[in-house]
Amino acid sequence: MTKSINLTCALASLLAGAWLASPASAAPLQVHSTLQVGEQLSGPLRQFKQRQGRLQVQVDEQRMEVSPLPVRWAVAPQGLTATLARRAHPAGPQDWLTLEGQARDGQPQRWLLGRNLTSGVALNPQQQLVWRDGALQLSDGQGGLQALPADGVIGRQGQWRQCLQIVDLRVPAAETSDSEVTFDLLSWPTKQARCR
Amino acid sequence: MRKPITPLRASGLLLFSLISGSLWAASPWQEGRQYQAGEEVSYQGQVYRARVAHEAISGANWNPQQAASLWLALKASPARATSTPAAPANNGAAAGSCTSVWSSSATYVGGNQVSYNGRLYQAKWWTRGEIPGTTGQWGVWQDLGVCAANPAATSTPGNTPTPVITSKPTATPTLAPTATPKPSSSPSTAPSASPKPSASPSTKPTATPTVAPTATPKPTAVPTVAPTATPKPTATPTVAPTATPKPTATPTAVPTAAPTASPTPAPSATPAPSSGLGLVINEIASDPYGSGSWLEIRNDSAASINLAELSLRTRNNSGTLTTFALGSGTLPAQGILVLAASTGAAGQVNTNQIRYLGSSSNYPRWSSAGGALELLRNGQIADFVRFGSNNDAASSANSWNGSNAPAISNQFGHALVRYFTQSKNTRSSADWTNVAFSTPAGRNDVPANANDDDGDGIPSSAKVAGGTYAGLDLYSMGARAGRRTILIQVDYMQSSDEGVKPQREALQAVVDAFARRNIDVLFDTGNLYAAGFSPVNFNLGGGKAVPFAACVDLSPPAGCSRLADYKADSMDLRRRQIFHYLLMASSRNADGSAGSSGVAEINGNDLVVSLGKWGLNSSTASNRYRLINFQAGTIMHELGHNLGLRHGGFENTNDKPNYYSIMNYLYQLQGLGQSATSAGALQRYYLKRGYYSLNSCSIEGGPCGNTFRIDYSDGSGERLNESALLESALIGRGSSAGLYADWNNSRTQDGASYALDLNADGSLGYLQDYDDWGNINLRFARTSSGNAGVAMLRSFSAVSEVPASKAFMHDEFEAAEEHAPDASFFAELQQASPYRP
Repeated sequence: MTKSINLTCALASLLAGAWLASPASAAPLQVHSTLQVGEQLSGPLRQFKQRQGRLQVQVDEQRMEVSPLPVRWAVAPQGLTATLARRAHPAGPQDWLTLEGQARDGQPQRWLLGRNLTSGVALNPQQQLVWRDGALQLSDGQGGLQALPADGVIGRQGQWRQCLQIVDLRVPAAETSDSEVTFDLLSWPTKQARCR
Repeated sequence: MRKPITPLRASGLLLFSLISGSLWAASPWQEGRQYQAGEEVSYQGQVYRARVAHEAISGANWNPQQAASLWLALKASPARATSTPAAPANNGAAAGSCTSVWSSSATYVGGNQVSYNGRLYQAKWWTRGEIPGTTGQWGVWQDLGVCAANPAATSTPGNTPTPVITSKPTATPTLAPTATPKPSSSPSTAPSASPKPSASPSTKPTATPTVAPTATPKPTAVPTVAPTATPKPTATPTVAPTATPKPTATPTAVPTAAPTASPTPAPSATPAPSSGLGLVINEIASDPYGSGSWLEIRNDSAASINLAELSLRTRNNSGTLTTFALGSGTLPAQGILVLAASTGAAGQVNTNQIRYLGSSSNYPRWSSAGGALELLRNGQIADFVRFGSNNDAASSANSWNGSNAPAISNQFGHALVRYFTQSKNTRSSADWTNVAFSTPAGRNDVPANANDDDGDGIPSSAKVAGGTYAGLDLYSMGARAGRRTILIQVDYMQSSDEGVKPQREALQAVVDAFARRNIDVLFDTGNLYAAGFSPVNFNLGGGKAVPFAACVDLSPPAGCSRLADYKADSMDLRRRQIFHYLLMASSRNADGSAGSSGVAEINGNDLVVSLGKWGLNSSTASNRYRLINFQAGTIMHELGHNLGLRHGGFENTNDKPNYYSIMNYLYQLQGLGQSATSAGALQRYYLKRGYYSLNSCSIEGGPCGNTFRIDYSDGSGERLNESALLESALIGRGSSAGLYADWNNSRTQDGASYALDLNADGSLGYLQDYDDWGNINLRFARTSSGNAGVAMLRSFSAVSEVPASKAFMHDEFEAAEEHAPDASFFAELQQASPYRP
């Protein structure tokens, strides 16, 4: 048996709309940095600023600026390790910002920002985002799929919830040999009841 | 780097003396002679052995140096061996030291020097697997003359820190390197870590293929070519077949299919010659679906003709007899003009080679089964032809004699033609010949009995000396009978972005990959790398720099340019049926930002590579390799689509580790690695998953070095059962001691099988390999997409419907674009979305 995914373009476009998450202000993330394609930089987070939908981080001498950011992240930069990456992908370079650290209660924390991602991207070892049947779905890597949860919570650990927001999703009008569904996402930890 | 010239050592002289003694028997090569397989000759100081029996046809210039497929270079002839050792290294008779020995598995770039069979060679550009001495004077290896054995220098200089990473997964700490307080910028293993800079630190080695790293401008006395100049040959050859030219695909020596020979229909004594209006209908193309009709007219007179005087009377798409004006302009004496149906498709641009007649609701239409065409000049019949089952009468008597001309084949790419040597117009079926290769806008020089022996879509008659196709001399371009040939015109946008400019080494890498399968890829970048016609420098006289557009696509959104328009403006119409069209563009994104690396037709002939704004550059050796390798991988990937391949070979399922092909996204930009049983193949999977903290420069055979490898799959991989994966099976092409596929990132080998969605498509199943090489389709002119560009790939669903065809002239994608619902629909959905901020 071979695997194939059937999709009608109409359905794809239709459901894509459902995931155009942030209505009026929804827009693709713009990422500015001097990282080259294939380059990755990791180190202590030196600067973290978020103002009016614009996020600035600095690692060593490398800065990354992201906008428009529809969510305000509660980040205490002390003790966080940041990874900035620009990965080569046939569908276009993918930008990643990852912040990792530990909360006061000892729980690991992870903030994730990704731009121009494609189906199959891993959020963590147990969760992947898969474009299937005209929608982004959560895969457990074992063949199990589930719709993205309505409250945006994709994981819980202690008092913490891990949130996911698809900031923008782009479905090609015409599916060609190398036209992929691409999307931008944010994921962050929160103690709030809702991912807002 | 040019090696210092040292005197011949005594032992070297002795060696050459011994060799010499055995060479005197070889007689000089002679044109016109018959040679038997195995026979040895000398030619310009070199001894060659005939690979196959053949005749050295006079005028064909099949001398041993030119015809590598006929002759195998053996060794230097005595005359050369005794030349003075003090001569300059590049005069062809020099004596240098035999430093690094050529290796079939090593990659060399322009300027690299190797020794082979006692001679010193210098690479002119990127190459791998091409044997020095066999590539001819226009080939990649420049013969620098004999060299002396130098034991001290025979080992590979170690100035190339090849970025080879661990051979097997180790239990290194996971995910983010949090322990590292100080940021470390990768790529860390780039071979430019401590390059030996050139004396003149120019920053952009774009014009020539030298890979001069100019990162650290610390000049030394010896200007080395590149830190990677002498690639470290890998211990084990890769799975790729060796590059030894196979003598099997020998050109069929005798140009029996010389175009002038046969099939001219003998003109009968039929009356009613041409009316003297100086015009003939010259060719009528097959049109299986009856929606892409075109014909060709020729000005048979000695004076130019005003097109405003001309019109075409035939049935339109509604079946009504209609007269179509040709518009303004002139048709020069002996000029040929194609008249095609104007169906309203984009990309239908009138040029001096083609006119589109009618409009989208009223255009000329006939089918392969039958039609009647009447060419009028100032209202008088200049020519008339009726073919197949059609019964339409001409508008005046005596315009056609006897029975109809035959119907045209119901396949794409066929035509009914007046053969070009025919001088009379009898206005009867005797004038017309059915041919299997239409020749739009060119002379009808493909004989009726011409075959496509090797299945590449090009008539064999045009691949011998003296043969032509539509007047094009494909033989001079490098096409050879018996060898499959892929012709590609490369246009490139005017831009300072190096990602947009076709890199010579990238093109050569693609050429080499196909050459290993005995397929000749002939790129045409015009005068980019040579001022005049020079196939070895990728100048076939067609490719050119074209105006920059921030965005271009095959089926572009609003605001983007269309490939079909570039092609219509740039490509000689005569090439349409036999050349692919590659546009090196900047971006496919409407805002011009870095986006998809390319796009191509499936089973078609149009492809876009769009690596602009990716920041690719030549500022360091590592960056330059990445630039070259990304281009090479992407060009071969997109070309693979043209040849019928998909991301999973026969299917669209992507990221199958066992589909070991450049068509697979796992490998397109990262390369294949050393072999299917090396750690490199697995590292592509780890990289995609984010395991082992890899980056593209740190993986074995990755894009930042000179061991990058591109290839299609040969289908030899076992299927992988995602419900029961065995780590010892690696990617299904054999195992390797101590190596396992850590699919689940457990950092230890799992002895038992387990389930995992390897390619992250949300389901478990069997992942299949595919024999790309055994299934590629080179004959795009036989497909509707090759003619009309209609078969746009559906990424997820197989396209089963027969697309409505358009003539190849339109060459425009007919994509089933799905339009998004209107704004109110989305607004309603958005109100309900939990992801609203």
